[in-house]
Amino acid sequence: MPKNRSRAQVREGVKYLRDKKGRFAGSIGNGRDEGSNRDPLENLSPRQRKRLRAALRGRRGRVKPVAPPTETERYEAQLKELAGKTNLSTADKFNKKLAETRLAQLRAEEVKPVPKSVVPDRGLVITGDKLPKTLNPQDQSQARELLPQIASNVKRTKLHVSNAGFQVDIAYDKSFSVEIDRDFRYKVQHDGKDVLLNDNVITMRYQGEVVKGVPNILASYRDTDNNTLVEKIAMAEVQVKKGKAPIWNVDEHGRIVTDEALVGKSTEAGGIDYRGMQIHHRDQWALYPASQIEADFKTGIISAEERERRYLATVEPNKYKDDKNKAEYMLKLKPKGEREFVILPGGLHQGGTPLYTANHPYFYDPSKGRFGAIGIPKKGDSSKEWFDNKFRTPFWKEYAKYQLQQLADEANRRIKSGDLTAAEAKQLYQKAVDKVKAGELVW
Amino acid sequence: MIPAYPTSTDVRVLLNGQHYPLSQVDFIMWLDTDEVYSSEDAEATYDSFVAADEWRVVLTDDSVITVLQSSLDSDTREHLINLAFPD
Repeated sequence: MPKNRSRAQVREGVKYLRDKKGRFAGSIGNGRDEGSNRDPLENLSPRQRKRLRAALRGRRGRVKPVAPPTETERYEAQLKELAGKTNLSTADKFNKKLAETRLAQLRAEEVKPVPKSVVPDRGLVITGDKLPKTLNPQDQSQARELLPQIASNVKRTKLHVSNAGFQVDIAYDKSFSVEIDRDFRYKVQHDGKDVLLNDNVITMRYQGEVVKGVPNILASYRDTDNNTLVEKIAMAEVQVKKGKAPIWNVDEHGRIVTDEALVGKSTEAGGIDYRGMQIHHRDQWALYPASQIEADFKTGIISAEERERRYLATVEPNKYKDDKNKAEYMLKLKPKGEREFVILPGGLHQGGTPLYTANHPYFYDPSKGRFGAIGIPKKGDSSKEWFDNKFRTPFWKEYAKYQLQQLADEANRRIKSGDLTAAEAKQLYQKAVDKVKAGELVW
Repeated sequence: MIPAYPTSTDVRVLLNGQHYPLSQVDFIMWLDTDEVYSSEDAEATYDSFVAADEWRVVLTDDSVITVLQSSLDSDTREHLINLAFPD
């Protein structure tokens, strides 16, 4: 699928950076690989290779593909090369460590037997107490279709496939719930214009935080074929344990911004590559959002003095300053209940994308006497450390459970209506599990 | 007196003696204890990023710049950290 290829392409690029002649790519110097006697195609990233191949095809027909050495062979060759050196540079040490690590991983994978998937043939098992659904009263009928059962006090989430179909034993975190916000709109200012980045209606609550703009996947699953649906089930099952953020696929999650120049990445097939989903701190959770201060000032709602007061009130000296964290100032945050996250595709959010600055406006930095990037606290309550270690991955696990329930419900609906037999479902599931284990499916 | 809000978003970073527009930074890679991460990885953590000696800055034209973190000025360092770990 193009959507998977696009992500795989990025991954391939990363792998390439690791693999090039068995070492981490790039060069110490002015941003360019200094070159070697290697096949020039081997020196290039997938995108560069594609461009070069296309250019060469134009001049002299198709390029004969060169069978690349295996990853193990490349690392072994690199270690051999480095072993011959007397004084290792920092880059050499870096590459040596990388090669040793990857080789160890690759060898472990080689000897590790792949267990045959065993699916117990038993009926529906649901354990744990049920919690009432959290609903907006006006959306109860829609929510009945959208919302999974919320279970608590259950430590396990399991999927069983039997002759009756898919049965899931979902164990949500107690704090997790889902609701609908039909009025949700997330916009940013870019080049003087409002750009709508997300109007998805699902809101998830977790650990007392609010995550808005979660795509409604049900409509896309209704239209997908049986095999894709079951593959999604197998992928979601894995992510209940891993908690990896999914790729923002246009077919599943919708097309948010159609201007490719604003997304910054295109797929091989020419479509927009939104990259993986990311959790964005809306307005950086700042006590006074910079965009709001400026808007209020420009429209005369606040004076120049009040503007200054709000900027100064939104930052404080960085009390976690150390060798790793050298910023002079950090943001003061809104308290829980007054702040929210919004899901954004990486292509609209992360570093290097055209809308990065629009999503992360500058604040006034008193230590520099000018505006600059000031982040949320690196340690302590509601910090990056908390987000990295306590929130992000656990949230995506809850999300995966929700998806697992949705997908299984859809598969069972098809079984009930005769569009899919339980035997076919079991067979497709077995194949899908094997593909997931082989890394052939991208979540 | 706080100055007017900056209108230009064309912030530049100084990498190995050359200035690059921040918009040319595609993603960043680094080595943690036992794994290579990129700023696109969901599993990447702030601590492992700031603890890495070297960062590989991948530009939008696919070229790769290897930089020692200790060689960066504070503004550039801060910009790259924010790019790798947006709030």
